[in-house]
Amino acid sequence: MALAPDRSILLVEDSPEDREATVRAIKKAGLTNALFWCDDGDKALDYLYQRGEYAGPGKAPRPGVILLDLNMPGSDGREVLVIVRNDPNLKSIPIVVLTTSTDVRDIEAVMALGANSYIVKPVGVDGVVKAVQQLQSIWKLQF
Amino acid sequence: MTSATSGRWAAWWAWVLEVAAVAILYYAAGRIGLTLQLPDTNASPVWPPSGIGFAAVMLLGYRIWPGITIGAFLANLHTLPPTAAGLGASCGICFGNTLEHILGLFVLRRLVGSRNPLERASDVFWFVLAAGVGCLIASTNGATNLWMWKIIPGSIYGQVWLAWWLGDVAGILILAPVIFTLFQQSEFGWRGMRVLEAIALFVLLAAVTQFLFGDNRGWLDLELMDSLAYAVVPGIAWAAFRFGPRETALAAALVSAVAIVNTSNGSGPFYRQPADIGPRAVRSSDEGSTITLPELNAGEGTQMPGGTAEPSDLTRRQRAESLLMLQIFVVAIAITAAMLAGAVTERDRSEQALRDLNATLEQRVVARTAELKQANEALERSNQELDDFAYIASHDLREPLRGINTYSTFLLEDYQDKLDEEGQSKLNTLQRLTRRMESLIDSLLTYSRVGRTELAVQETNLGEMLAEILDSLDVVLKERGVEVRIQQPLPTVRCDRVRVGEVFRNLITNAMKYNDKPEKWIEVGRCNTDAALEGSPCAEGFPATFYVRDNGIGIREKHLDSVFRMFKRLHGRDQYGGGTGVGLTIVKKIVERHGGQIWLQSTFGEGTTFFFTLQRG
Repeated sequence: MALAPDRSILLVEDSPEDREATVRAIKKAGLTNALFWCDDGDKALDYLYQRGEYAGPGKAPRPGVILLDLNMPGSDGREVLVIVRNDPNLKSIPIVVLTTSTDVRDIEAVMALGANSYIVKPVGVDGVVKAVQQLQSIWKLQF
Repeated sequence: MTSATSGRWAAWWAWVLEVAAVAILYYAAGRIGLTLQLPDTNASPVWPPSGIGFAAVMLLGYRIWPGITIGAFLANLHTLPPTAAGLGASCGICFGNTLEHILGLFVLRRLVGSRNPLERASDVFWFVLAAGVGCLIASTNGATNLWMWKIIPGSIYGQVWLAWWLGDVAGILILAPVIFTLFQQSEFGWRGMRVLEAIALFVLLAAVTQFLFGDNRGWLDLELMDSLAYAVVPGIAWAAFRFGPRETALAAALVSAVAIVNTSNGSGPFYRQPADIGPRAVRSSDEGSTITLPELNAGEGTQMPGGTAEPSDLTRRQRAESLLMLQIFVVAIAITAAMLAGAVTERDRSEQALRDLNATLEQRVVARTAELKQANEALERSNQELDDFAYIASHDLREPLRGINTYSTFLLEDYQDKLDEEGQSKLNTLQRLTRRMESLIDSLLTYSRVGRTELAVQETNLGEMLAEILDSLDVVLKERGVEVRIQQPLPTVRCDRVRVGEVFRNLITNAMKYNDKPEKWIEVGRCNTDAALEGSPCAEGFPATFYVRDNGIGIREKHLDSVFRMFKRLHGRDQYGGGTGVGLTIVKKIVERHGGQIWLQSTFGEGTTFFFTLQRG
């Protein structure tokens, strides 16, 4: 159970409590990758395009996976998802959506927007493990 | 003098003026009537004063009677011989003539009421009847008076009576409508072609009548002329269909006037040349002179027997015949005119009423539709707002709740060794409560979502869907020992697959949970038109109704209505597997969003059946 250790994880999440739970679950799942955190969608886009506070070499390494919350102030998760999926440079980055909804419709909707997997919040170890397994099966140990 | 008394005086003076006017008109009409006498008789075929009198009571009411009495007294006094007998007869006759109109109006009001009697065919019939009944008094009273005062011999009582009666009736039928309609509002504008048409009608009608009744024997000598007199009827019909009751009454009066004038001048189909009074050429020189006929003193135009030779029986019969035919003609024309005009007016009125009704109906439908649409929009808006509120509120409520749950988990994980058993137990309770809160909010969210989001309607094989649901519930069902029977294969219908799946899952789960029997069963089926199967829960007449039936604990009758209420539970929180109490509320909402209905039958202690449809109707 591992992601390529040289790849970082970008966590986009506005709630500090949810972030803490997610970080904890990632660690518990045994992932040791570098973790970057943006607390809204606009900052996430700045990070990905290395602009604003993320301008400059080394400040924003290209992530190996994005954990994306959906409901955020400013640009929300769905917008980020669409922009990343339509950018030729970014679209190969796997995205795991963090959702509060268990409704089949909602999940189908974000998968249709281009998410590769999802974890229902609060994020626990099981969710992280399952998502990583799913990514690995799709990308065939691409990390 | 107060204004009230002055008002009374003004009213009194107005009445006096009206009475005087009627008296003068009545008297004048009587004088004119006398000039219409047929040759060699004292009988006027039409007694115009009776038309004046009847129109007067129709327009002004019973109170105008003194005008009629005075007018009739003067007219008779002028006509009858200036003797004591003449005075006596005048007194007697004038009261009969007054009573004629009082009784006529009484009958008319009884039969027709206070509405215009010339605007319906049936009312015209009653109008004719009232005139006929009223005139019975005048003719009986008049003939009796003349006989009692020895002005006429008893032998011609019958003839006088009939001529009097017909003359009065004709006077009413011809003149009263003309005068009465003069005081009614005309229904159409008199413009251009309309005026020309009216002029053409009256000129043509006068010309035709003149032709039929005038002296035309030189070049058209036909026996047929008698019946040709009625060829004026199409002209009357023209007036009735193209104009109103007033113009039709005028047309009838015009025809009658021309017919009477010509007949009294000794021509026309109804004139019978008396055998003992030479050829017409000779007789016509006598025109204007009054030949007194004691045998036929009809109408009030009666004069003393005078110095002419006694006419033969043949002459008498011919004169009576002339008079009768003319009177019948006039009465027939008058009735035809009034009937046609009444029927046409009635038809026009009802057509107009129908059009008006249609217009108002349309307006009302439009207005009502707009109101409903508005109300509907308002309702939709408030529903939408409620759903939005529920969604947003519950969505935002979840985040802090998740935080509480997360941090209590952190506490349990990170401080396990520092917390004693009691502390851990309390934290567990905290977590249990947050989970419960979360499931309540989830239910609320689901509920609002069912209302907010469009249904994803698709062809759905309910049989397959049910199999999937039972498959996923298989473990629990086996665990609880519940047997599921599928009564009929379920059809493929158009519905939202996911939502309807929730309905079945929810009803089946409920049926499974609320059951304390040792042998538990659930029956799922669909009512057919021919599903009068033994033991089927389907009442007749519920085709395409699905049902989920169980032999569970049942629901008390008083709770039947509240099972669909949100967060309403009938049992303790931890009994029967718990739950938020929102399941059936969501089920109902889903069914209703499909346009269907849900209801239930239950016997407490024996089981419950939920029915639902997925279509409107």
